[in-house]
Amino acid sequence: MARHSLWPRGFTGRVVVVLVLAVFVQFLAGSILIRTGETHIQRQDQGKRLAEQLLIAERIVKDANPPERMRLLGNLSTIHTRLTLIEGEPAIPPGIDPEALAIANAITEFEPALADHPLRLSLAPGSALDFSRRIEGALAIGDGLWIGFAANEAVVGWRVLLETTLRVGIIALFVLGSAAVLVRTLSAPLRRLSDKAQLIGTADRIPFDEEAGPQELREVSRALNTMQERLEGVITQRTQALMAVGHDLRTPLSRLRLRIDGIAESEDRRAALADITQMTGMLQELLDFFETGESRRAPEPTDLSSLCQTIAEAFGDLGAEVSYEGPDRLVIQGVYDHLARAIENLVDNAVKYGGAAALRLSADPDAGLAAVTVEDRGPGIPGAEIDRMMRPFERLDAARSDRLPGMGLGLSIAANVAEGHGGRLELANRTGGGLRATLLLATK
Amino acid sequence: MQISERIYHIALVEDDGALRTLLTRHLRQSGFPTRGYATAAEFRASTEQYDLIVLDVMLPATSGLDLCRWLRQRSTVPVIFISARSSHTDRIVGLELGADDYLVKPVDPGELVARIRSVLRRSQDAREGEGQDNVSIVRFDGWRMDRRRRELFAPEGPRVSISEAEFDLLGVFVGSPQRVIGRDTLLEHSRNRLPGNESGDRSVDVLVSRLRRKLGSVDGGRELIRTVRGVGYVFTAKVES
Repeated sequence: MARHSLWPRGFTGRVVVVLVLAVFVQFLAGSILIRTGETHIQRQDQGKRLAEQLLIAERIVKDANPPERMRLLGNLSTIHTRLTLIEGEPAIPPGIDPEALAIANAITEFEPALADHPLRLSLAPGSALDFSRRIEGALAIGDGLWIGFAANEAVVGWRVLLETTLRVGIIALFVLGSAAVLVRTLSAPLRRLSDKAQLIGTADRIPFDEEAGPQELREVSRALNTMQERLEGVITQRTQALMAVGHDLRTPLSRLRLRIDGIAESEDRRAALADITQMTGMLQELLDFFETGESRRAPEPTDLSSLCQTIAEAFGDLGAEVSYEGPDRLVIQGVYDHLARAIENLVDNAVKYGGAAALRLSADPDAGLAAVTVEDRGPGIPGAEIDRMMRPFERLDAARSDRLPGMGLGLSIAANVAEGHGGRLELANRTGGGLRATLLLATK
Repeated sequence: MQISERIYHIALVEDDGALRTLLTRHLRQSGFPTRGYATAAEFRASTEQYDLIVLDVMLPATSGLDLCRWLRQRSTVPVIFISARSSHTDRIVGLELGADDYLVKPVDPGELVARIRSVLRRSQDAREGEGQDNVSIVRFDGWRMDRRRRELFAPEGPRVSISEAEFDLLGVFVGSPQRVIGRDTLLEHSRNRLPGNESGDRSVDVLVSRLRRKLGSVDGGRELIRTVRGVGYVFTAKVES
């Protein structure tokens, strides 16, 4: 959508845009109202003054001798209004300038005695500098005589308008500035909330404060807490159901195992035994996955060196080529069974895919990490697939899963264990072919 | 030491009828007169004396764990748990209650018989006062060996990994400290846990060298097992329990 470019993404930005628009509209409306109001007051005012002056002038001029009239009118002039006597048609066009109508109305309203006198009124251009205009006009007093008048003061000029506009504008800017600060303050809890919400699902439970921040955010916090509780409930239920299935299948599997013992030695019997071994392994894999995923077990000092050696030797005894290289002793804080399971899984994968494995142990005291590296010379994993392979139940391809039994949880279990030990699992293809799996574990 | 000399009677408490029948049959065929019970109550009501009890952990009403606790208050009869639950916690709870072994279903019939023999031998050794087999925790030179949980801890506490075969071997050593132990004795105790296809003596040597390497992760650990050329080995440390 095109408007996306103008519509800010952030909450603060959006509120500021709304505020700018609102303040601008208010500013415009304010300016217009002030202008109208001022113009009206000024014209009323001018009209009244003119009316008074004109009424007095009319009476004096009517009573005075013709030669005196001009002089008297001159005397009646003020610094605001100049009065002259016009004999015959005045230079001002007949009728009333529509823009000066308010003044004319004010004149006749204020002094009804002038209402029956023909009046001419126009707005003459005043100073070229500020585009102001001045009132000029003439009032007929009979006998072909007119009293001409010209105001020295401009009808609402550019400067007056500019000044008021500036004032309103400055206020608007202040309003806007403080509003932006306020919006930032208001949106801070929202930002904190969103930062926290990002963490949902990464750890056990992210508690949201239901007692802080504006009402709406408290409600969101409450909703998020409830949501997490519900999610946790659903997940726990599912996990328990799967684990129960895992446990419950073991009894019939036991029966099957014993029944097969009664069958005479044959190819089918061997195959059936292999199937049972595979099913047993799959159940164990599933249960291990859940156990390592949400372990509550306290870590204890555990020697990784002997663990790696035991695993390498156990695979060696089964006929696989697994070498070990590393220190004689490397103690970390860990859960023994989980660590054993993770390393076994990695070595098992290496042996399955690569036929042999090189197990190495090293420590990086600066980073506070121990690294268990398992390398093979198998086919490796296509670069794009590496992340996918660490997800549960994922396998490189369907064809291979027939050949290699398991549920595809081996790497997920290793990743679970690494994360449970303050580290991570890294997979990388080796130059020259093969895969390198690195189990990084915090030493403390 | 020759466990084949006498007949051992086994009780099996398992609520799954078919599994009970199958296991009972298998144990009988393996030379152990066995009687099956479906519930803890049924077993308690019996007046028979048994040499070993195989207990399913999950029994209706009174669980196998409760039954084990009840048994332990009355006798030292060896108990082997069979359980559908494989977690560390379940295993530890079972062993802490005083069970001698803990097997996860599906139980490999051959493995079960091997474990029964092993537990019987251990309890017989203990009765005859040979070694410290009845003691759960054994200490030597700062090391701690938990025989029930089958865990080994180095001085200062870190857990050291050790294979089942190595653990059995170490068990023989700590059972007869500062005495020359012949290869044949070690071989006998480590039956069917030997690595690879090596000949017996060679396998014992491989096991000893692996065990030495692990003990050697601590200064002076390698010297704990000394070779007596042509005869066997000596475990040099003083063993405390």
